[in-house]
Amino acid sequence: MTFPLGTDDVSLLFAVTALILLVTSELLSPYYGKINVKINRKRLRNAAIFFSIMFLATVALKVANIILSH
Amino acid sequence: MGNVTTKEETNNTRARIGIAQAPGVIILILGVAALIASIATTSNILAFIGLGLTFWGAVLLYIQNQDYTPTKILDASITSLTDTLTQTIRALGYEGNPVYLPPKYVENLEDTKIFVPKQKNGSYPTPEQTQQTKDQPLITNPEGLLLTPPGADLAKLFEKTLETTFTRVNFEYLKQHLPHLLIEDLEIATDVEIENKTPETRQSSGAKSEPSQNNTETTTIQLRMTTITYQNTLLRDAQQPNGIGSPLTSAIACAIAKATGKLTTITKQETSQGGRKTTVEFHLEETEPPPL
Repeated sequence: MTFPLGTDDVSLLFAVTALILLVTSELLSPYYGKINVKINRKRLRNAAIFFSIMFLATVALKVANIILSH
Repeated sequence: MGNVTTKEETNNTRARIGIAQAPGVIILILGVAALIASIATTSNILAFIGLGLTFWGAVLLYIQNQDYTPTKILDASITSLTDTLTQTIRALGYEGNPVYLPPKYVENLEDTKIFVPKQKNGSYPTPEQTQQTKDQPLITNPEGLLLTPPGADLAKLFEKTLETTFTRVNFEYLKQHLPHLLIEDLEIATDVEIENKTPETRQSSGAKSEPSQNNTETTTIQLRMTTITYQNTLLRDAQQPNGIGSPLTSAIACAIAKATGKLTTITKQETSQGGRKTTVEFHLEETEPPPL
């Protein structure tokens, strides 16, 4: 009864999700006049930033593990 | 009877919220179920699917839309109000150019007022005179109308969104933050440029430190914007200029008057592309007390 995914797998998932959200939030930016999609752009950007930070945190964790194991 | 209607309205609102949130909730539930199943079966694929669905369900719920009003409703409800204001002023025989008064002219610093002189080139009142009016719209010496501009509350919304009051900031702050506010925060426009059009030669030649004969300093600020909303009102205002402006230009004039502390008038307004692109010129004037 253990969770089958490791840090690498979760990191990959965070990276893909962050990438999709960041690109979407940029494409829907009001600077390009794309205002017909009725979503909260600020929250979308916050979610994108959250997933990016989570991805970077998992990368940092991996780097720390490599350094500490040597 | 009224209570029954209110309950029905509340139920309808709940139903609408439920429908709007349904995809997010369903994806989230499926994701959690897949995660539990993945732990039970030790399946990588199910765990990936479960985590992905859980994340996307949470994101969908988080980015739920705020309440939006279609632009055409906003335009249609505002146009007649501004028309009525203009017609009333003209019918009362006030022909002067309306001027946005800076905070020192009003009792409450949060408020903004416009003064419409009776005569075409009528003089403006002193801060002491306007402060003593106690919300009376009629001023007798000099004769004119003291009104709340149509963009006063929109200017307050600007302040609330920026978490400041324009009385505490200067024009540079406005120049820096107004485009971001109108484009990203309020989504009123897609492009905003604001600049001081006063010729540099005049500024550098010491015009600011050497008041002219009537002790006035003048500055012109030009605002260029591509708007998403208020297009009809901006177009109508450019065709039939009244000096007060549309709610949007009025709110910006309020902000400029508050931030600079100068008498502000809307001198020029041009629109193109059916009201999408607008250029507005604000004329700033500071009347200093005569030298002793």
